[in-house]
Amino acid sequence: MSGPVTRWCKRHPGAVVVGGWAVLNAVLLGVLTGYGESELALLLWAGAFVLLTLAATAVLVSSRRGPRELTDYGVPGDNGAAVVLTAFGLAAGGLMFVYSTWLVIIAAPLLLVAAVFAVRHRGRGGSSR
Amino acid sequence: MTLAPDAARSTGASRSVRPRSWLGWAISTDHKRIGLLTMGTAVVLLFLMGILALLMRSQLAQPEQQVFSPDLYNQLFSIHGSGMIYMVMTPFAIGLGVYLVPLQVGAPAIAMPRTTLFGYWLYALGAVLMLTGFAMPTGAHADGWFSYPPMASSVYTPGNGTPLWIVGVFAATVGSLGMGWAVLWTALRKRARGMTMLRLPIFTWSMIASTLMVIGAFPSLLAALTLLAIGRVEPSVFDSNVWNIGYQHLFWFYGHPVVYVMFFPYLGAVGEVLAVFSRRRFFGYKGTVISLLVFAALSMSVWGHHMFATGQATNDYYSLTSIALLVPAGIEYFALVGTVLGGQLVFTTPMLFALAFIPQFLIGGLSGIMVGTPVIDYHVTDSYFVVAHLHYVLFAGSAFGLFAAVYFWWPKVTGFLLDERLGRVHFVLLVIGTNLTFLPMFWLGQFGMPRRVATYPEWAGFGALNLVSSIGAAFLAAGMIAFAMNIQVSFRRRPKAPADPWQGHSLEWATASPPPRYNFTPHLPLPPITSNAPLLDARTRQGQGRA
Repeated sequence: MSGPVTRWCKRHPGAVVVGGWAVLNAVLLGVLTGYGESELALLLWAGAFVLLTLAATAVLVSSRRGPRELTDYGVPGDNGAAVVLTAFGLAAGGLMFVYSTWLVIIAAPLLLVAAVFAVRHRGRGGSSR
Repeated sequence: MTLAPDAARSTGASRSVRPRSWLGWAISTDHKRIGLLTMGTAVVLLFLMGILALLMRSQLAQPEQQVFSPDLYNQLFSIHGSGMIYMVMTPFAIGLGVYLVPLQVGAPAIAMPRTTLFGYWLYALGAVLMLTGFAMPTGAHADGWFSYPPMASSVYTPGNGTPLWIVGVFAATVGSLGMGWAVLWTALRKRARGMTMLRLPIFTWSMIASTLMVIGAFPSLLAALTLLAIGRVEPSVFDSNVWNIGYQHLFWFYGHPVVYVMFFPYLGAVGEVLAVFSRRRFFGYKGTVISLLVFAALSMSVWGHHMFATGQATNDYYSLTSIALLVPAGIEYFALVGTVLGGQLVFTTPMLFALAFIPQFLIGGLSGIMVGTPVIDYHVTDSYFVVAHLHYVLFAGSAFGLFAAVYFWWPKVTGFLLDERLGRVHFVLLVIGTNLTFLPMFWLGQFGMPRRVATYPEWAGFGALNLVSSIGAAFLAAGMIAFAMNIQVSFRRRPKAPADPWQGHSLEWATASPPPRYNFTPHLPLPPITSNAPLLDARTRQGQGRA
């Protein structure tokens, strides 16, 4: 019971879980196709399948780089000021939909300061994730 | 396990900010702090949304009451529903994963901590934006939590309430996506040595299933909101029924899986609580893992049952898949009951909430099978039967799982114990309140009371059952006051909790309460990981050694 497929699955269990789940979705989508559902609904689910396949691929690529991440990896610095400012900037940007484009005068500086923080943090050797 | 130099650098990066200050909390990339911020925000919003529910129940307690105008009533139920789903139950579930999954897999940090922090802030800002609608001259969003066009278009719902709702829900959903992806990546790629996939605790597996649905389904809500936003700028979009029905497909492709995102983590928490307080291993572990993944996939396939009455969905298929959900759900129930049977039960507060979850969620689940059958759905659609069903799923089920989780992990998270007596008062009031409030709604719906009505005439005969329901809501309020008092007492008296007050099974109980910054240290090392219950294994080995 240790054929090449089994060995591959044991080496990349995370990708197998995500990929297997995507395949399960594809099977159910295939059955729905047989029931004659509208194209819009089928495309919608097909889009989700693509997203899940991309996620499985990302996990696989990470997994193929080896098991280092499992045991020995960098933990980031404790300062997430840049992402907090980015969230506030994007929320202000989103409000342009409600209150017109003048809000760019709030959103743009916030995003600019966030970018400066991020660059400075990276310069000090912090993780960019 | 070795920490790379980033860990050392981190102190330098945050030198200017005191870690314990409010700013230190706000910008911290520690997964435990982000998880606590998320869950704390969700609990505050839970109280707010509960107040909105009480206001609604006061209006409906008697026929022909006019405590609020119909317009304000529409705002109350819309923000209550939206708040509970987008801002309370979903974020709390993901926040619990953010806190616990790295600990349970033996990782020193969450994957993508900045993405996680970004996700929290988008969620928090989204909640604020949604609630800001109440300050608008035209009021808050008033088209329900699913906000169907053309009703939600700028023609029929003018003003800024709905646009604020769109931006707020969009932000919160992007935030949930970010946090969900980080939790999934942590479970799949950041496991400690020895922590194989089939040694993951059942809660972590429930988070894997949930976050897979987050990735597959949540982008659909973003597309639906974008369509709604376009329609608010150009209302003629919704002159074509293609986009009205298209919106419903986009919305429910998210709207059904999110129910399971709000359910699986609490099911996982209940599984852990039942195993620990039955002093047994979780029964049927592998079967439950497979059933969670199948359940999650099937839940992606049932969205059309929300559209039975439109005549625009393939009812046969959606009915078939909805009923097929019984199979994985049955396996999970079998596992929960099998865990308890023959165990040495300890009736602590978390155990009481976990035990009540089993029959109460069963009512929600079985009534879901009923409304998943088109002939019954045609009769009860848009009636109080549906309100009863969804509240049995999300309150009698998920919220009881949430409270089981809170009482179970509180000592780990804070380092303090909660008061058992107040916990039991909370539990009893909640059981009485839940069933008094939501059970009568099944009959109200069956007798024809439509949902989302601001009042009803006396001759309709809905008065007695509505009064019972409103009395039940008062019990719920009293229960939540007991809960708030318990939290306050815990923080005031600070009764010290040991590292493992319950004899837990999973790795989080091996470290200090609360856990240190990087979870496990040379003084608090990871124990050998031999199964999905490594601490139980260690105790068993010690017992054998002594014998």
